Amino acid sequence: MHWPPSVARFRLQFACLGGMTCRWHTWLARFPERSPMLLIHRRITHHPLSPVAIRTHKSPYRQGFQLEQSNSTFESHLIRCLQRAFQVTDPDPRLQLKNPQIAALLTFIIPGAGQLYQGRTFKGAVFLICILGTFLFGMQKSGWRAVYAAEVEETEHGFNNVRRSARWPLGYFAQAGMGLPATFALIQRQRFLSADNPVMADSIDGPTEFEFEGQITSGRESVDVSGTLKLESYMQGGAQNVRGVFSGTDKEGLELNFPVEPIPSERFMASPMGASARRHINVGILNPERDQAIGVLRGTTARPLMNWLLMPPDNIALGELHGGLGKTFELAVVCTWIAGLLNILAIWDALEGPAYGYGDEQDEESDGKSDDAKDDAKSTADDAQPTPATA
Amino acid sequence: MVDLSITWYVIPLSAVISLAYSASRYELTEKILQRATRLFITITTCMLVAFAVLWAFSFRL
Repeated sequence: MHWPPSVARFRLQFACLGGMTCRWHTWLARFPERSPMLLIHRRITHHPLSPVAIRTHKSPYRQGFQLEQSNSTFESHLIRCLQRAFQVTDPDPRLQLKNPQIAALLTFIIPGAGQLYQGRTFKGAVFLICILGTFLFGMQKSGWRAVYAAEVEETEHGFNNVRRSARWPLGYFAQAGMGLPATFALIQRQRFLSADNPVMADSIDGPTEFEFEGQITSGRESVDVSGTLKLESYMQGGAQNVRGVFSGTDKEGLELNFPVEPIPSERFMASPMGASARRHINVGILNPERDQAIGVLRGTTARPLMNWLLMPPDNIALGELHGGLGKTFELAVVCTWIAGLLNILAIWDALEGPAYGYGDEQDEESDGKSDDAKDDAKSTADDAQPTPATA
Repeated sequence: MVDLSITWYVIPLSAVISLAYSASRYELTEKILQRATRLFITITTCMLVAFAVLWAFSFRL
């Protein structure tokens, strides 16, 4: 059975059960040639499930297998059988992996970069265009929100008490092959779940000014508005409160300016960090003369890029994504999974070289078959010779 | 009625997967392209057969 070198190496490593290795030529030397035990072990070494251990298991493209050569005809034949059975090849001088660990790290960060570092231009270009292109396509289709390292659920436990729980999305482990965005998503997960990102932002640190887009709702009427929302905190009765002023215009250009205040029964502002590029704000519009709410101002303000890029979405944000993009979002996420998984192959290629071989092994296979025929003929001739009598 | 618009993305995705996978197996450019083409044809043929079977089962439903 033909086993690719990479699979063969894995099997050989796996076969070193408990870390035990054995030196074949030493162990075999205990048995005389053509003994039943040797024939049995010869049969075993041809079997793919053979628990054969070889001294070294390094990549043939780095140093090659160091099967110890022997002067014994039988042992040389056995070594050739092992090499053919596990398709172990000598190092190919055409392939220079340079520093494979650095190449693998480069490929992990940017697909194809490791291959370009090794001088394998065609492969580097293939991985760069195919893998990175697929990933970027997925990200663009999803509004740059396909990669996230947590699925967040916010549940209410009584008035003004919202708890946040996060779990690992399975898809992230497929995207983890793309090192740079996956690592950044991990950092964003930590920032999202930190104390700097409270579930309910009911207060502000100081005077703050937001660019604002939203709607004024009073009774059954609503008007689209845009402008600036200025907020400041103040102390009243030992408690911190927030008040502010909205300045802007409606769609027809009519200038608006009125005081606002958080609505007690609603969440005032979304968390500073979230999956959406815009942050929700809900405030009540005050009648300054009577100091009572006469309407509601609901809208959004822009979040800084670092506060929303690759941030974990909560169930509401995920619902908005699926509702807004539909199947396109699922396609986008699948594209990022595919890119991540393919990059694992690219990393392996940078670390160990091509899995099956250089690509011109057909000549070696035909040589191997002719070697087989010669060995079979020789062993038949050996068997036909009479066994010398022992004294 | 089947929505085919998103299904067409399968073709370039299959090409990308075939090319990247074959590039990780071999080093020679000709070998990579040859195996990638073969794999792409295999994938698309299998998917066409699957689509044909599903279409046949859903005929006149």
